[in-house]
Amino acid sequence: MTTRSYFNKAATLGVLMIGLVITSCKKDFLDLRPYDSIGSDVAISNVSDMKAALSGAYANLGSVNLYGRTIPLFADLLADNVYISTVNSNRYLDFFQVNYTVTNSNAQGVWESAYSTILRSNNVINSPLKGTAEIDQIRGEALSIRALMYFELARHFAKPYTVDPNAPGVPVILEYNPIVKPPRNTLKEVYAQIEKDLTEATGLLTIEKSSGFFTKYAAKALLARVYEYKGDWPKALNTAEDVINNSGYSLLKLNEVLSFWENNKDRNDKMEVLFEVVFDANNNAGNSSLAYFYDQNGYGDALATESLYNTYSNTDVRKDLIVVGSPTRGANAKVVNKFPNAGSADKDEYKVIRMSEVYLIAAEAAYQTGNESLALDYLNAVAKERDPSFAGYSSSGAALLSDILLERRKELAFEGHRYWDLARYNMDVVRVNLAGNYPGNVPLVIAANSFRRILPIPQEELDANPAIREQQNPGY
Amino acid sequence: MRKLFLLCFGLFLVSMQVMAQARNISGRVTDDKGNGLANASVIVKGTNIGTSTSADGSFSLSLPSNATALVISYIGLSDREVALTNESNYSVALVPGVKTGLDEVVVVAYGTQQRRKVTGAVSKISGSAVENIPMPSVDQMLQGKIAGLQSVSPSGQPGSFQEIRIRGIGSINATSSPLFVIDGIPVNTGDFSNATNSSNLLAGINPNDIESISVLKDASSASIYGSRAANGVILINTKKGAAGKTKIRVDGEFGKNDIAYFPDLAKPLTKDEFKELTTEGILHVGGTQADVEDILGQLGYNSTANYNWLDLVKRKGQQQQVNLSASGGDAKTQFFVSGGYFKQLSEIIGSSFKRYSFNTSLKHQVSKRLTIGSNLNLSSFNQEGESESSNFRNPIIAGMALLPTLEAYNADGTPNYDPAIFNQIFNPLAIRKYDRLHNQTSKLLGSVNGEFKILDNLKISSRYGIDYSNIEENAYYNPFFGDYSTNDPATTGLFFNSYNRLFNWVWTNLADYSFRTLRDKLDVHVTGGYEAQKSQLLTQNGSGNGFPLTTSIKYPSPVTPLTPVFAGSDYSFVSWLSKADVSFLNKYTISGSLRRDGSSRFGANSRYGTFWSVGAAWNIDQEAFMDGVDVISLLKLRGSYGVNGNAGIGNYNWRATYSFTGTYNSLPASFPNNVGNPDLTWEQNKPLDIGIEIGLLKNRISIEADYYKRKTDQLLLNEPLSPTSGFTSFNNNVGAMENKGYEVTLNATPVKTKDFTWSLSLNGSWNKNKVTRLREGQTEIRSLPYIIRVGEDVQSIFTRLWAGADPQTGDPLWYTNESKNETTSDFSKANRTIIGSASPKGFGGFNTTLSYKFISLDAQLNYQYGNLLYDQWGFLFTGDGAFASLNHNRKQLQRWQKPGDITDVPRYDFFNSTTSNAASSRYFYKGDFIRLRNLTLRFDLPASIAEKLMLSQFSLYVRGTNLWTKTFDKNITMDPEQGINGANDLQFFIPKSFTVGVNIQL
Repeated sequence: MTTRSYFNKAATLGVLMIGLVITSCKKDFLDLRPYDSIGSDVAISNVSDMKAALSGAYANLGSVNLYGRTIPLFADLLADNVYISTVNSNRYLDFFQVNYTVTNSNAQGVWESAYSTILRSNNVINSPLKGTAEIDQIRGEALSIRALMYFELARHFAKPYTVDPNAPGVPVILEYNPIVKPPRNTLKEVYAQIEKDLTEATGLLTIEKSSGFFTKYAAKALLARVYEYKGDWPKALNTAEDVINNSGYSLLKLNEVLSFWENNKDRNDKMEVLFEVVFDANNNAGNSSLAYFYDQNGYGDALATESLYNTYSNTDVRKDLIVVGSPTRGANAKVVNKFPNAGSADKDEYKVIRMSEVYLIAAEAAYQTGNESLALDYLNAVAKERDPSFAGYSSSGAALLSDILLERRKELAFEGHRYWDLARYNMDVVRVNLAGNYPGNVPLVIAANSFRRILPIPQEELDANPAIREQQNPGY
Repeated sequence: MRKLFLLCFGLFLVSMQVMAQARNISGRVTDDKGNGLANASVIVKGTNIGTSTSADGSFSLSLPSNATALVISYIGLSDREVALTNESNYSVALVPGVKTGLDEVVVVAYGTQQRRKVTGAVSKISGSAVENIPMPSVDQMLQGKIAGLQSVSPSGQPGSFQEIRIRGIGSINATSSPLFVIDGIPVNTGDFSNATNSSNLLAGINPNDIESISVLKDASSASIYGSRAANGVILINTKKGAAGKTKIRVDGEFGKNDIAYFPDLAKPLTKDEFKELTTEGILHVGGTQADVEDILGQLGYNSTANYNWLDLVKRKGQQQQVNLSASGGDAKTQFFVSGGYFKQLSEIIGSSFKRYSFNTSLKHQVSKRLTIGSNLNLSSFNQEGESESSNFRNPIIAGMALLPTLEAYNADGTPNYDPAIFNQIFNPLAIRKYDRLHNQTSKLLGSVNGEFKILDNLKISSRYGIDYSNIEENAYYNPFFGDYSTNDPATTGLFFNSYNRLFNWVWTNLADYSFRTLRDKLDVHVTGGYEAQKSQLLTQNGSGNGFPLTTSIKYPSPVTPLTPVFAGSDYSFVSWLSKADVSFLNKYTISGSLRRDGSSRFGANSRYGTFWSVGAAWNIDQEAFMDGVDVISLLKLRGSYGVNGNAGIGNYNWRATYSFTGTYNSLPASFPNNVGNPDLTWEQNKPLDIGIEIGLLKNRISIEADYYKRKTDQLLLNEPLSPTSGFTSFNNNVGAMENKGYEVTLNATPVKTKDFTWSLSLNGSWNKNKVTRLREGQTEIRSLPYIIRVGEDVQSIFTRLWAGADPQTGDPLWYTNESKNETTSDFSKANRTIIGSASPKGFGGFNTTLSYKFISLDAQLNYQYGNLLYDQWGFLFTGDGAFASLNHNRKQLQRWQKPGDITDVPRYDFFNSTTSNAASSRYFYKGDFIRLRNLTLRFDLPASIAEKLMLSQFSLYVRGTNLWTKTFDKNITMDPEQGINGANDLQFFIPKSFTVGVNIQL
């Protein structure tokens, strides 16, 4: 063979090979996509996607940093309902001892998780899909979740609205932008956004799925609470009464109380719960849950204070939600038993808002608008359903307000409300040290003007965001 | 372009012409027993003209008119020079010998090359150096053998993952491990297990099947692997057959394992010693004698039990391996087949490794021009082990922490697991008896290949290879006691079954062209090719709980099935590659490489990258002016520079994605889980290397020394985002660091007589790492006690300065300043500073062989110095009573006892709350050590006797591994051989083995 013919052969083979190579190497050979996720640009392209994305926003509400544990625990622990046993797993001692600083990981957790839930909601709200009742419903639920998160951010990181509505609030972010570096909006602007979202939501929400999802009246109930926090009493009363009269939801009855708290499923019977975060066998906070933090077979670090326990009369059914005695923390320990399902696969739901609270909002708003008899009606509607031997409240003036706050403390204990009631009225937190609940290094008074009455903007936000760096809450 | 083509074509014609003028000779190259040697190199002395032998050892060659002699060389055998006469046929037999010359052929990227022409830093190990070593995987055996390569075991679990760093740590968040290429296939390495404590895919390769290993360390040698070359490349070639008489080989060894090194200070206290400490500790915190009695009672001192729990978790380890192989063939077809069995029972209960392996290699010459072949490595290993680290099932924790007063056994001799006694740390004997943790990894590594010679000097080849691994794991946690037992029959116990499948295919197509020109003075070799690769990982696992109360069912049907997991990931590469080297007069070589890599891992805006290298070598000894300088037999200078990359950046990090892994209220949930970064790309590495190779006294002494400096930038770091965006950070290529250092290798044969030979080799490496840039505005990243700080070593240790115990009170003291002249007992006032690094300043090995007639003694010593080791568990075992209900180590006995005591161990307080046990320089130790890695005494049956027995070789040996260890910190509480970060995390102990073996060849 001649050199030339070898070359021809080589060329032929070469061409053949390159041909093979090119056919094997289509353009998508390098375009490999993850197996458990899809591109953000196409993640919400139809109604099913939108539903899944909405579920993602709901799921994040159950984060340990939000309703999984930190938020409900914070308000009872910082106030006077709950203390940390000396036998503990070293969690939340900073809240108990009121010595948190700018690097506090729990504060950081609330901040991060709330904004990540807001991102999830924003992406649903801003989806171009429109036009059907189903899509409206999805958007309405996302708006409600967003409003709920801004409400939580505002109360944890900004002064109470009732103290200074012009105080710095939190940055209001309504669409996804990874490189955003926003300054703080004023509290007024944040509340305006919350009201706007909830009002819009009530117009969009038409479908009742279960207590595990936002509905029209759940959004209205939340709006009533927002007005309560603003001190906008006429609107608070009006909205709460709208829920009481028109929602079709019933108030929890005396004989239902214990089974109500034992239940670990969401409800379809329009009884009491307007909205709760569902923790089922698949999606729950596990050992990081609030229930596990109370359960004496779990961490069991947190116990009810003696002072709270003493507020319940012996005939009060709610006294049964506290069990006396713990194998590791002594015979006198008051063990919270409101969330008894820590040991089951299907865990306790967190009740974000329920009818009893709406009644108490109505009572407080009626009182504040000067209608004391209406206030007593709403207050006693709850109180008498908890204690068969209770004749009902009949106080007036300042005593009535303090009765309303007492009843709120008793009814909503361990659900994350107590501290905020004190905050709204700009009152000192006074922890009554009975039965040695509070060791020496724990402050018994947190003055209304203490800078630690609100949490620090987390260090990592200050580091990443120059616009907020000079806007830290004073004192931190 | 057109000009270039014309030039090439012109050169080609010239070379054709040159060849035509030559005279032809032929011949055959054999070993000392007459077997033909394939691929031996036959070179005309003083030129680059040469060829390699065919399968049966024959060759033919065109000689230039001025040729005087042939130089014949073969891997593992001594070179031979044959004077040319008028004969046209030459038979040459080569004898075994130590090769140090530059004429040997080394395996390099995409081919082989004469050492003389290599412009890069390539270290070679022959297969015989990794045969019959009592270790499961070959990466463990590289330690101390190659300058610049650091190989350490984070765990003594047999079959565990080994950490390798070549020329320092080159990354912060991406991988720092080298690329392994086995028989041309870039393979998946590392730990892909889900339940096993530590598992190593490379443990599926039988080291006895390895022919040679080449470590590519610089740009010139490695850059052709493009975006995966930055951490170096390790090429492994497995054994192939050679034409000639069929060789049968049997290797067998057995032996025992023990703990290599465990200092006395780290051992647990006896019953009496712990009692003494506890009594003292209670009195220190104001307790009374009555309290003492009470607490001792609670700690079990009323019982007669008295155990050394560390002894209870130890056992006699075993070591066994048998390897059989046959190789041979004729001129057209050659084969190699082998089978191996390897078993290691570690010295810790429940920890073992067993491997079965098979290897087949076939090669057939279809025609004069076409050769086809296939390699197939099959193996399956079974690994058993318990959890390590902080897991309360870890037998080492149990051995250290359980009190001697705890009753280990029930009356009937079964292990006691009474939860009232073993409530936090379980009885390791009961865990061993009732729980299981198995890993069965099956591996297939194989390829088919073909090579077509278009011309004698132009060939094309194609290889399709697959690298397939199955990892099946079964973890079973009994329903009676332990982490997963509950009181509820519906949830007690747990099993976890996991199945991982890794499938990786690579298709490589190469064209190889070489020619000589300018009267044979210029030798040119060009390779070009295309390569495509795709690797896919699939995972399925499931778990369940709620078991029948028996442990004898392997897969109990669970009352409560838990969530099953289906997951996967993949990556792909397409590459165009080329390399060329040009040698002039065998003195000057210039080389270059160019590769273009595209990968699914790189962001949409930077999908393809170009990587290159240039190198040059100057064989000074070939210069006329060196004639007469007899003492220098070899002198070569070389240098290289280039750019390569690190693609170990995660498969999908660049993509902005929504994950669908969640649920809410039994509905599927999606959420944004990655910001994405379309610019995300490989980390870039720019290595510079300058080397010198010297041979003295006919290469009786040879020295190779390298200086290198590699600058790495585009390091992957997390850039923080404002959390108000919903994300807290994203990956970006922003950091930079550099490594620079020296490597020296010395080989010498001080004595070589007919009966006695003494040879030795020594290597040393000194690396200095410096982080040169983090993200903008960032000067350090802390993950205490480690710190990554600009200007410092990437493994720097930042901690408080410990000053010992206050001689008056026994309180802990720290220094308040770096000059260490003021102390404080207030922890918050203690000075924090960088006290050193976990990276060694230097490391290496020393090897010596003495052989007299039929006896030889071989010793290898490894050393390392200048690093700090961290006793992560000092806070507990030397915690001055902070964990007063757990046992302590013997170092705690050095505690302060009375005013005037000078010691660095403070007062023992029952439930110590002085923070004396917080991380500080107290728990760091000098990591310097020398270890006798290998000591082998070998008897070879003299050839005359062996022949009578129809054997070509018969040897017996005794071998000790890690027999002796010398440390240089008298307070050290651990084996000095720890993972790359130097942290002792209560891993299983590195074994000391003693084995006896036999080697027979027919």
